[in-house]
Amino acid sequence: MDIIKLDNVCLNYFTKTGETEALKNISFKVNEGDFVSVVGPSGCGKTTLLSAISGLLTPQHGKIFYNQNGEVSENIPKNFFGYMLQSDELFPWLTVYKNIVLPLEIQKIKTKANLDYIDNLLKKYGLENFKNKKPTELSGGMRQRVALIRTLALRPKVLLLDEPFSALDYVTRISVANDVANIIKEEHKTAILVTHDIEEAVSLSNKVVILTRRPATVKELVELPFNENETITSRRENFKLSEWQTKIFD
Amino acid sequence: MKKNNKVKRQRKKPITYKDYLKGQKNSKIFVFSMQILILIVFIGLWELLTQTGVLDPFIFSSPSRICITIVDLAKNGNLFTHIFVTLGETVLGFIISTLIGTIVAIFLYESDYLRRILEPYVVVLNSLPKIALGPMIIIWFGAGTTAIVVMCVLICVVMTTISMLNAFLEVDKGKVLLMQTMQASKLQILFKLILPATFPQFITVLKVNVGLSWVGSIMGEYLVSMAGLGYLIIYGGQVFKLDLVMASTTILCFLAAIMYFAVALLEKHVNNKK
Ligand SMILES: Nc1ncnc2c1ncn2[C@@H]1O[C@H](COP(=O)(O)OP(=O)(O)OP(=O)(O)O)[C@@H](O)[C@H]1O
Ligand SMILES: [Mg+2]
Repeated sequence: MDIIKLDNVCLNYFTKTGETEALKNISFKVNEGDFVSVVGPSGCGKTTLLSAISGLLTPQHGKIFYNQNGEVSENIPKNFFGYMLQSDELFPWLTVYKNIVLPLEIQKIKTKANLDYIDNLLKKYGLENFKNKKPTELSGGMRQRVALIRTLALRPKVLLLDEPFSALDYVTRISVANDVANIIKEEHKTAILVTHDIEEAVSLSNKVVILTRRPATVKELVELPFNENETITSRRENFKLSEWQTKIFD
Repeated sequence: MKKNNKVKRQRKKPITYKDYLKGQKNSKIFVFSMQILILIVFIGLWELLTQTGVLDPFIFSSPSRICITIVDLAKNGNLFTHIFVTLGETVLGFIISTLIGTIVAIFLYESDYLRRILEPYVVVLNSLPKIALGPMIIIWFGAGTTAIVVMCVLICVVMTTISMLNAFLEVDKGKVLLMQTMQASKLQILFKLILPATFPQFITVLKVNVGLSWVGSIMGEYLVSMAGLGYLIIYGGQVFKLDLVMASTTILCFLAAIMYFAVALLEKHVNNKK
């Protein structure tokens, strides 16, 4: 069942100096449970694509359909998306816990069930003892996990991840990316990940959308289903990356 | 060869953490004692020079004469009236201007149009010497406390608006975007992000306003008042009682310092609560 469907999406930016084409005739589907990676050259329109999908920007042409429990609509259902930005954007004046509860406060749904869910996530992902610490006292990887739990707090169906690991050093990046991807799988979420790291895209996802230079069009859509006994770590070791590298960047 | 030997740098002796702490403490004590020493030397020298007649105490006053004047004023009963008049005007002006300035900054932040439309007016108001408005203020508000508070507000309010608006505009756009992705309302973005994020700048504005509001109230009193420390200073100057001028100035120093520390205390309190 496809949960999101993009149909010929075109989006231009208007500035004083002229019109910039960012997205051109983009069409693809995301199925429930998919982990889709979007790769493409820098500045091609990946962030713009996520903004269009999440409703922060409206495309000039084309349509995006959202499927909430079988009901298909062009309107975005409430809390359909959780958005993880390039930088974790934790508020330094709040504790870890208060950062995570922030979305619940904003939507005024600080119910017992929702708070229990958060406590559960904190426990499960090794952050329970850091609840009352300030974000500055955490490592980069921990901060990303906190940001992920904050994103999960509203229980979105689909996670949009815009290069969430790019601020981390290489070694941390691998382990945090694996962690985050595993958490997303365990919580049975659908995810769309923007990344410029092909190894990351290939190892984490079952679908890779390859975009061209700006204006972004879909160059290729590659399906990479997970085998029975494959894990993210084993995929990292197995895939022939150089082959992909040449395929993606001409 | 010989020269080379001399150039060799001697390594500093290693220190323990205990030594480090001791050094920190000692340097604190040193700074504080120097501060006290400067004050004592200044007061002592002033007293000595006036006592020995090097400086004319009639023109330069002296610490002892200042003390006597203050005690005199206190005995006659109107010292505290003067203090409370000025303090009241200052605190009132301080609070009103901080409130109005911040609220205007919030409106300018929220509305792009308002900000663009009002920008030239804000710039002109900021560079205008507010004292020039004195006569007008007296005519509009009467020669009394209201006029002084208005003067005080005029001096602080534009600065507050400009500083707070800049602080608001500098809040990380990524954090604003994050709030938007959580579907926060404008009001929620204001109260949960913009205001807490700019608290340090707000404290800076408060500290600057402490100084400016004293300027406002004393200037206001120069223009209109019948009581207050500014009035005492002007009156003392007119009848050539420099002791009175100096005594009032000394009291002003103390009051301004107390107000500054009150703001610093507020800052500490809020930071601890966070
Ligand atoms: N607000 C804007 N106004 C005008 N042009 C914009 C705006 N935002 C982005 N662009 C342009 O649109 C193009 C796509 O931008 P986008 O941020 O989507 O790229 P990206 O693929 O996410 O890049 P990166 O890999 O560097 O994150 C860029 O060429 C950029 O210059
Ligand atoms: Mg981007």
